[in-house]
Amino acid sequence: MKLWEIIAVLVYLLMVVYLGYLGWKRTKSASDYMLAGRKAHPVIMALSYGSTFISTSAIVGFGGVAAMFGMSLLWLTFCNVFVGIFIAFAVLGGRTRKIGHALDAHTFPELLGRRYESRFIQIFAGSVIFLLMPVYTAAVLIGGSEFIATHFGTPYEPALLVFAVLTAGYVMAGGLKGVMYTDAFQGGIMFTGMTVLLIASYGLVGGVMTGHQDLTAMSGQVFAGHTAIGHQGWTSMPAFGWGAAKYNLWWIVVTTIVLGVGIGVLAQPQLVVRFMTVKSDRELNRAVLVGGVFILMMTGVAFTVGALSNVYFFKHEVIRGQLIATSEKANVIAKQERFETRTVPCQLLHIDTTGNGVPDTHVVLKGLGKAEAILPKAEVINLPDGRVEVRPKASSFLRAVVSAGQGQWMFNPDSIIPIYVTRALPRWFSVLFLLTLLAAAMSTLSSQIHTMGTGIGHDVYKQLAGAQTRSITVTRIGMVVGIIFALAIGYYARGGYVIARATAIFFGLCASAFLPAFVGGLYFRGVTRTAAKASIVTGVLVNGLWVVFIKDAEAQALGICKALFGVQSLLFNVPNWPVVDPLIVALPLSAVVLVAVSLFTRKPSDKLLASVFGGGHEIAAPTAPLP
Amino acid sequence: MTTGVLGIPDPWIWMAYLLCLAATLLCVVHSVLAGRKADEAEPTPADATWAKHEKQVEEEE
Repeated sequence: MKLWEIIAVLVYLLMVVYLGYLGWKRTKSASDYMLAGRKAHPVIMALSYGSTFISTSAIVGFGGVAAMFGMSLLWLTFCNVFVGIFIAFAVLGGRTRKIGHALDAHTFPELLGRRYESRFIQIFAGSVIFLLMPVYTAAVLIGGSEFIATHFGTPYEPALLVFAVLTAGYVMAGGLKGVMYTDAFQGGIMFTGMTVLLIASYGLVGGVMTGHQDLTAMSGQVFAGHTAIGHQGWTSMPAFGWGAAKYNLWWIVVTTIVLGVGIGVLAQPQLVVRFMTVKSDRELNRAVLVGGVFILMMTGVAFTVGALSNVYFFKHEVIRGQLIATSEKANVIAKQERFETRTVPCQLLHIDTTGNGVPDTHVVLKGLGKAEAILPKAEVINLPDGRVEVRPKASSFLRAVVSAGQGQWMFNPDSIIPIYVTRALPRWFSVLFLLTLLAAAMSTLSSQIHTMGTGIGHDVYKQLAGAQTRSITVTRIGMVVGIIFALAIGYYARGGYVIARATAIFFGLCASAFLPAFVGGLYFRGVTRTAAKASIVTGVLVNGLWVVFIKDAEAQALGICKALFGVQSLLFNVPNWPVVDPLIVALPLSAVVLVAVSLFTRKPSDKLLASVFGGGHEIAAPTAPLP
Repeated sequence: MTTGVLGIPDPWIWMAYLLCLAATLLCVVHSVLAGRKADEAEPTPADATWAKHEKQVEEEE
């Protein structure tokens, strides 16, 4: 790491610490604004929400998935902007704020618990969030670590540890106070970094039209393993249908990536509470502008650039350096699940591009045997100075060769964005991008860790031990346990676009479990306590059972299905079902249970309805349950 | 070489590309119109109580 790079990172960290100090000194948290009867600036509020929403998971993880599967991921960006910002702010935000304040709720589980006068709901929701948030936290940690490993040429494991210590240290030292200036500063860095990335990337591939046309022309370069599941090129939707493996990709992209995350955002505990921190609906409406533009510039850019990286690697990339070694026969892992590993035999070149004698770039020279037809063939020219000039001519997925440890190699989609930024863009941008990712990770991690802590401290312990009990010790222990759990997941789970998958698991679970009860509670007087309990438990159970027994990759990773039934997943040999996201089944069931049980159970008391919806007839919905 | 919009032949993809921009435009227009229309509401007693208790919750973390 060069001196100026260290200085840039230190200056950034000092700025964050300084803003945190300013916030602490002047107490500029959201509640301070409200206590002082003032409003937080909508731009600050929107950037704070946006930087919490968008993390390294979206930029590195989902960006890598776009590089692998193409621009179909832009449907997720559409959902992010339309559902995650417009619906969330303009439709649900105001009602959440009003009811949250009326019920004096300070966490998402508390909002649900008080809305339905149910301690069970608060404790259950707090427990679910505490236990499963680390899966999402791990995704954020992996995203940052993959970039650090690529940028500095270090192994992944120490990068993960350093990144976790750095971000968790910041959060534990004081990043928890919801200081909006810090979030907004980080949001500003993210916006700048992604704007430069977009402009530079379109510039690299020759502009919008040329870039897209070149990407379209590359459809013949799709990896055979992806063609087999329906990949038709980076500017085409995957093949749609049911009943054959060649339709798997459509179901992966649409159900897990687009719907799982696109809808799941509405019931994200760490985001819902943000609506309570504003003073009026006007602030929310004004924040929609900045929020929409910000999210477009985050996921829209990450997915577009991810897809375009294929053009760069295939058509434009030239690597110059010292050839340190050649692996004459390497079996590179193309797919790895717990009970299923697929490798591709090939020759690898290991090149030192920085002059320190350590190979930092690994590319496929050619495939061996049958793999020759499905792998790229790199062009190698020996330069007069003893170095080599290599044109990999590979798609992004096949260019992302990284060490899998113990002498093994793998194609890692989560490394695509880091490799692209490090290889394609100037070093100074790489450092700016590092800061972008640090900012994205810190702002999201702080609210994740905060939500894990309050989940166990405020929502579980305090409810069990009594309202007057101080929960600070339990909250802090909860945070540390959550971080360690996330670190462990990050250590063991790598490869196979795990960042996106882990994020989708958490988002999907939150939607299945909480979305019907949350929206029902905001808009309908007739939703009963029993129905909300049944809906939440149904969502968690169905989602959980689907992950453990049906969703093939996750069922394999957990191994419970194998232990109980001797098969990796119950429907593993039935096409398409093993890749359908749990949300597709669990969310409708959870909603149906909410409606059905509301029809036959005791209606909420008038006193509760008055405190939730006000004394009058503010809510137009009839007293009947959901239509 | 390719037809379609913005160099993207598949309508499902260029539609997604344009819808991303349209959704963002919707956010901008909504924000401008609704931000103008909505009156500045005075904080209610519930808002003040919430903010006071939020401060206590923050201090416990």
